[in-house]
Amino acid sequence: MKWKTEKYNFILAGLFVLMAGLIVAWKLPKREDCYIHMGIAVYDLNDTFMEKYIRTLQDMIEKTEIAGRKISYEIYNADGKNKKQEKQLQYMYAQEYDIMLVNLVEPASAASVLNEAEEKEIPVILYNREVAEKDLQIVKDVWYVGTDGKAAGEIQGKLLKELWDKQKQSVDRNQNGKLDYILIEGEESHYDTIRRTNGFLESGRELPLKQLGNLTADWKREIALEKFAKLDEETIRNTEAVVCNNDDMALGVYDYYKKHQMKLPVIIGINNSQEMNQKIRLGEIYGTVDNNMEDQAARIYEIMKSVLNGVIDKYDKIWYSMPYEIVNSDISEEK
Amino acid sequence: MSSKKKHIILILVLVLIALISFLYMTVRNHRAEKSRITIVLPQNTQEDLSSVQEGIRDYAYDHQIKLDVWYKKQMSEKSFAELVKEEKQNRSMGILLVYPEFYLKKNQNGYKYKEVLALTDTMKESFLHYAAFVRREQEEETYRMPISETVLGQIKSGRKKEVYMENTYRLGYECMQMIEAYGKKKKMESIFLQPLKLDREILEAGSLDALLVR
Repeated sequence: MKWKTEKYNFILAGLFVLMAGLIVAWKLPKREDCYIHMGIAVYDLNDTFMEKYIRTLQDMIEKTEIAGRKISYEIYNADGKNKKQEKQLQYMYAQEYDIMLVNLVEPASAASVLNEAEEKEIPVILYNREVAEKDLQIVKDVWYVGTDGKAAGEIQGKLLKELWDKQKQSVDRNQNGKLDYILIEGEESHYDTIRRTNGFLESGRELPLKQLGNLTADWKREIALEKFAKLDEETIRNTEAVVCNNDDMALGVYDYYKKHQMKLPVIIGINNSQEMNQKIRLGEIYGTVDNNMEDQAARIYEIMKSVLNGVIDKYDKIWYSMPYEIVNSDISEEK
Repeated sequence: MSSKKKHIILILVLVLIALISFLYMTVRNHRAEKSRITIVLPQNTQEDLSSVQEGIRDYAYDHQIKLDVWYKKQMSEKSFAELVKEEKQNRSMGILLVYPEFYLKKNQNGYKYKEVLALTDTMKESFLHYAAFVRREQEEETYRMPISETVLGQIKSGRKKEVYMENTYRLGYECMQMIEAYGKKKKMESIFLQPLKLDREILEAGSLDALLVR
């Protein structure tokens, strides 16, 4: 009996030691990563606006440390291909980033992206390509930073009206009393395309607009050039203004006129890319709308820092930068 | 204490141990630390790195490796030494420098880091270990992945009889494999890849479609 009691005591003591060991091992702190890790998905770095956008963000991130930890980030360029981005997003989830900045190729896919990110407990900042507002309500840790597309379109209408009011005689080349124009849009059914176009058409109601053509060029310069070249000669000859959803497409139209050594119509874009800005300053192109990209990048940076510092309730889910006009005053005065 | 009571305590302790072990394993698996490799990429280069990056990413994904990625416009000898030190502290298995010729100057004595592998065209002599393509003696046309549709079209139409392709995807993948092997066995070697021959027959066979379709 005594032997049996001693055996019990011995086994019990052993088990208590084992249990204590397990508890200690369980509670041991995990070795911390020296860096913060971030993934940045970009729909297409060949888009000059996005290239500048990402460079601005990079410059901000490079200088940043969060609680003494540097930020290691990786850029995933989807080249405008949804399938490629889907694969890249899988890489990003597997990397278990502390935060993801996502510029979707296909904004309609936001819900699945956000659900998967939430499953991996990764906060997401969507930027530049707007998603449906209801998708942003699916998960908690998501924000959208972009520009007010409608306001940008409205500015285009306002610019055109100002020019028409001041120089109707020279703008109305065929003297038909109408402003004969061609509209070049970005991707079909893209939120920015719809909002920019609606903004322009609403603010252009006061103008005697006559639409000679409506093209979609997927935001791309070469597609705009290609499609513009397919219009019939008479339409091109009668075109007094070309209004484009972005600068790259506006530059595609510019390329057409230069290639054929024709007199440029009034061209208006959106983005204020470097090349567009130069051509506006040179007096070749009338104007564009600056989406205030620097403010967008700064806002992303603020949200990013706040989230990485553990503060997630400080910012609204949706934020738009305020666009403003860039116009060549010489053209607006003399044209 | 009666042996019956001790018996009950023994069972309770066993149940508790089983519970704690279960929780411990669950949490540990959830937080399992991944292996880590460091990648240094050139910032703002015209070189198309997409295939190399895809090779790196595929390997990391397949083998559950976490990447510390750094973009560099310039890196001095001193900041390179700091990076090596910091990455060692962060338990990185090794460092892959992707085309260091774009951000690191050549050093007279070379960079003698055992854990560094350089994927390079022009700085082979600066590192103990490097990964590169074998240059062909004959003057065939050699293209680097990704190959443009124009060139592929010329091969298909017979306007180009044959070209050679540097498979940068595979180079990126093998670099990762080498660094992981170094992390486990402390043995690193240089990597030499032969460019792949591409002609009309090979294109039509479709065996390289996965590499060629962008």
